[in-house]
Amino acid sequence: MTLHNILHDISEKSDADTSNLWHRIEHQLEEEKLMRKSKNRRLRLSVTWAMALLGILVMSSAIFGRNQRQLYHPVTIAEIERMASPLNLVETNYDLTIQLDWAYADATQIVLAYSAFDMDGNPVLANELAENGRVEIKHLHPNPDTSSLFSFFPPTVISELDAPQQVVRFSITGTYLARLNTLLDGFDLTESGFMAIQLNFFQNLSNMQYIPTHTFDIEIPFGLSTFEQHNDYIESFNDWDIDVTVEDIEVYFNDFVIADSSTHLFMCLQTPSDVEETWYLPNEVNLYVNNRAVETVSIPYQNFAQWSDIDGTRIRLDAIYFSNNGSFEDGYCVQFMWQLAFDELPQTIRVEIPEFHARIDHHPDNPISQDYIHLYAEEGYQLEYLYNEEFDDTSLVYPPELEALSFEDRRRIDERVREALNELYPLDERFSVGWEYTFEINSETE
Amino acid sequence: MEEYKVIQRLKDGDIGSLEVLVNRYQEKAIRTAYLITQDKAVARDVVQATFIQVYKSIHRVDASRPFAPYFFRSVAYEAVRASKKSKRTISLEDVHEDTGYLDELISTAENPETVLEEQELREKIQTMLAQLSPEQRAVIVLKYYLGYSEQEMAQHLNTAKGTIKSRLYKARQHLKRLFQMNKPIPLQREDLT
Repeated sequence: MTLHNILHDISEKSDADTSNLWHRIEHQLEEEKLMRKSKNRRLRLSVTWAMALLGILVMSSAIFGRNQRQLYHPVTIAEIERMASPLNLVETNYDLTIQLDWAYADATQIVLAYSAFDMDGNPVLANELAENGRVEIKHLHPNPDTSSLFSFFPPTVISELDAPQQVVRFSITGTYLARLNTLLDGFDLTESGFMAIQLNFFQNLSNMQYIPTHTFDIEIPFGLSTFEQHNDYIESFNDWDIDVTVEDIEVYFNDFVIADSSTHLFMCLQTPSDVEETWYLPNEVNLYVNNRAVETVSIPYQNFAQWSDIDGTRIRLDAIYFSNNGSFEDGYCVQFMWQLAFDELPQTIRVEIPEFHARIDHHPDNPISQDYIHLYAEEGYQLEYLYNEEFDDTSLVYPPELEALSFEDRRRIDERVREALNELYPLDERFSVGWEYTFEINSETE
Repeated sequence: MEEYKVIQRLKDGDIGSLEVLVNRYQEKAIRTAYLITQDKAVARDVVQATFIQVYKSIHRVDASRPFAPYFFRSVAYEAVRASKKSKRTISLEDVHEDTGYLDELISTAENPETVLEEQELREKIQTMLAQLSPEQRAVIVLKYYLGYSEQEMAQHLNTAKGTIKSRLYKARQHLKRLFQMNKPIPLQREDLT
């Protein structure tokens, strides 16, 4: 029995041999024909309205044109806020007040601005939402004077929205919680296509509770990815998937996304096992644009606004980082992202990656993890592993005092810890031979 | 009537020619869509929508080229989209927790004397198919049911050949792993190579 025969037998369950779709098809075509006629009548009646709307369209075009000029450039938080939908939603429950200020969504990121206060009006900080989820959360600059922000990559299902009028609907639940959930717990797309997000808020480590307390239901427009030269739409997550297999680890570039807020290139490194390894790109990533070598620089991804000319070129490789996307079908997709910027969209981009390094860490039973905690303790911050029975999951929790530091202070501490850890546990070089990819942008995306 | 004439007449506005195509291809199309979507009703909707789409975009169809590859590409593409919408992919964990399916497979593997009936075999393979992603099911169906090459599949699914190879590889690995846990399945070697 061949697989073909088995599949054929399975397909018997479809009752295909007794089906006749012609009448349904004919009926649908008739209905659509009637609808078109009706639309045409309405169109004729709308001519005068169209004239009245002309002025509005001109204004919209001007706004659109302004956004187009930003296409290949990173935008600041203030610019994202200008494109965002204001919300100003407030809810108080269990002595915690959460205010959602604004939200923005496109194919490269979803950003929510919020403020949270305890019953005395003191700001309360949300922790980083997840380490192991499907999307990476960036928790940005908690500041009592302004909104805290977090942003993340929309999951594929969200990015597949393909009409400008479509909206993303969030259901946001805030909780007092001092542990990390996986994003599968904290983030979900409901059957109806809405997205649920769970914000976890610190009160303090000694008063941990898991109490769903606040729920917001909001809808915001989803900004489409656009293609400047042709004023055309690029599928948010193109199936480029140019892949190779190196030592049983599959590596492929899969997404090239251009949206109003940023341009991203994604690479997935799919490990064959479910062992969570931390992967490091050394600094020898080489980038060529239109066959011209371009100097690259790594800028901490949290900082939207840092963007400066380098070496007289107008393109930069920005924000290399990684995340473990644990929900991949086979093993883990360790995702790397490059944020790119151009004066104009190039014909080709070539990326060369000479080597990768990896290390298994951040597991409670792993001595590296204990040293990791110890190193932060020496800096004055006590990290803690917390176990959640409900999810049978153990997560490393960073104290709110650490989360509350300014970006620069936090970065200095993180770097000191990382350097010390690298001395104690040198990185294991995994690939001695690198590889390269060339993207023919125009031919693939038109 | 020869197919290119049917297509040409449809291009000329003869809707009756669409009925000819429906009668000719609907059965295999529903079977194909069913294998990808795993749902009878959704499969019918997919095929209906594909025929409607074909009718609307018939001006883009080259009457001199075979219609079937173009049509089944569209069916597979629509089926993957519909399948994603209806979220019918089941994770291994779900299966394990919900039905004890993995326990059953492991038990079967530990007991090589067990001989599976053909009916049981089909059901198990269908369950395995359900555990693949819609894209993986699509490449399995296109390759093993419809018999397309990787190059043809890449054209049919409007994606890179590397993507197809990758999906096929993952799907085969996934199926292999499940097959290995269920040794009595009498598959021919070429099915999995």
